[in-house]
Amino acid sequence: MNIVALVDCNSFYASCETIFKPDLSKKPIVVLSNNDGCVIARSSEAKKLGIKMGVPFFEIKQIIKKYPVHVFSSNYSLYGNISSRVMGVLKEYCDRLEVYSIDEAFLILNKYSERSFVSRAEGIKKIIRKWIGIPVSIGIANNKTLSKVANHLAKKDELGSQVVEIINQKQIEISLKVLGVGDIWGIGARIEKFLQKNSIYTAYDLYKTDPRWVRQHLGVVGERTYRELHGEICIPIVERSEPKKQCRVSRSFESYVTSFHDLEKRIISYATRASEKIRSDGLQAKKITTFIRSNKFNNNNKQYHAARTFDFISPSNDLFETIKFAIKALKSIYRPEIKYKKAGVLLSDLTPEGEYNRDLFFHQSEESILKKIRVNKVFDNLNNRYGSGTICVAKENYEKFYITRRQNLSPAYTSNFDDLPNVN
Amino acid sequence: MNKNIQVKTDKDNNLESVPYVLSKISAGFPSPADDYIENNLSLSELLIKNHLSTFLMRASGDSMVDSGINDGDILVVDRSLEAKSRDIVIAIFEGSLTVKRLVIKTDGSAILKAENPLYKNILISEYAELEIWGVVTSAIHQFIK
Repeated sequence: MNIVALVDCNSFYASCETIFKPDLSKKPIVVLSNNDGCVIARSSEAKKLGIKMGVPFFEIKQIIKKYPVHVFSSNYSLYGNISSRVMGVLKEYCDRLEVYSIDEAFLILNKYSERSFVSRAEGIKKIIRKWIGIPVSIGIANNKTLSKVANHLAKKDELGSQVVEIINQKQIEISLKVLGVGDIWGIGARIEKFLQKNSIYTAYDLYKTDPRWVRQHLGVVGERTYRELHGEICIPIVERSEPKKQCRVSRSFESYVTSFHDLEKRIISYATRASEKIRSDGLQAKKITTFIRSNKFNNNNKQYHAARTFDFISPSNDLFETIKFAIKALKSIYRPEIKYKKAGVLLSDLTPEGEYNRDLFFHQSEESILKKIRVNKVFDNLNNRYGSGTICVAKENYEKFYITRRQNLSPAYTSNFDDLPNVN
Repeated sequence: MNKNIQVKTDKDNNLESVPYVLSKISAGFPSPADDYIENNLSLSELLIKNHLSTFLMRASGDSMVDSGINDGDILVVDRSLEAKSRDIVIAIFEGSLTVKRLVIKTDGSAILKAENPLYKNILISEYAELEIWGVVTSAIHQFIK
């Protein structure tokens, strides 16, 4: 029998910000989303000040006035670099690894070791702390769902080792009693409400529920979660090593957007960004999707979401073609009476550049293809050298929509020679 | 044989890729040098033993000038190494990062020694209390940028 360990970085973005700023460790830190809209990460000291996850920045301005809270815009180049180092260490210390998100991974630990799982986990934790400067907590159990439960407890053990193992039934039952049913991995807000209506409040309540009732009311997915709580293994570890298959650029708007013209400007900028990204990775896309949606959290407005996908005539990463199809898709799904809250562009079925699939009706001379490639190169070079948005496709209002507001951005410590941390 | 070009990439973390080209094989004889081509020299392989734990920093000021670290040099810092006495280290002193030579005394105290007579040494009464951020393994000094 193998064991699953869930390794989760503590307040990951906030921790990244302290690596080169040791004076900030143990201080309240918050990190804001794109556009500095809301709080997406908090150090534990910031949590103690009552700053909640996801609150709009303006709502915590009072707290910030009163206490010395350090505010950062999200610095994804830094977080991505630190994340890949953490995952690199984990890879060396386990048999199999599923990178679940930027700051979490499931590890499979085999039992063929002299050392206990807990002591191995403590070793991993120590290495990541020393090598990279990131604190992690680790939950150990028989399956993924229970490893999440264990991790939940590990997180709370701030003064202790932050490594928790729940393997035997007694450990499992005690842990489930102190966990809200909505905190179980795989139980979303909607199901949580439904369960509470049926007097199921803690994870333990669900654990004790009749399996037939669970199957009937929560479906296959709920049943899987239920069986994992009972120690079965239903959700496999997925190692993802294949190159990325899609590239998505989307944003939630700071306020509602209704006019086609406004939406179009935004879609152009997302299509621009997406095609830039895949060009820089040497990829081209077979399909392009534009999607738009209303605010799903506001039921007073009319709800609407739609997506439209087109196939490129031949796989492409050409800026103008990407924009052309993105707008074509937008035109086919746009409805004027909706208040839109989010939109995005997705390039999918990515393949390496250079594979052309010449349609018989699609006669493009070699010369015109080469010319397109040159135009894209010039575009990318200018934006690389002088900053994103230096050159853009007309209609797009970069200042307002493209350049995200990032007033408190820390330097690109790990990705730009001009931004290396200074030491005296 | 169509494969004239091979690209070697750094599997660990793609920090860098080093392309090298084997001579084109058409009809006739292959280049006699082909058997001897192994690799390009990689500076990052030379300077960075552990990609996961190594960070680059920029030296600022002249407090370490006698050790060969000049203002503006790039420092290669490996956090996985255990600091020994006489190592050049990045230490955390009063909340900020500083580069100094570490001298550990037998009585358990330590000195963060500047390598420039114009600067004062920092005396640490308990070495155990001192937090070492990483060990400096090289300084890179560029004459032309």
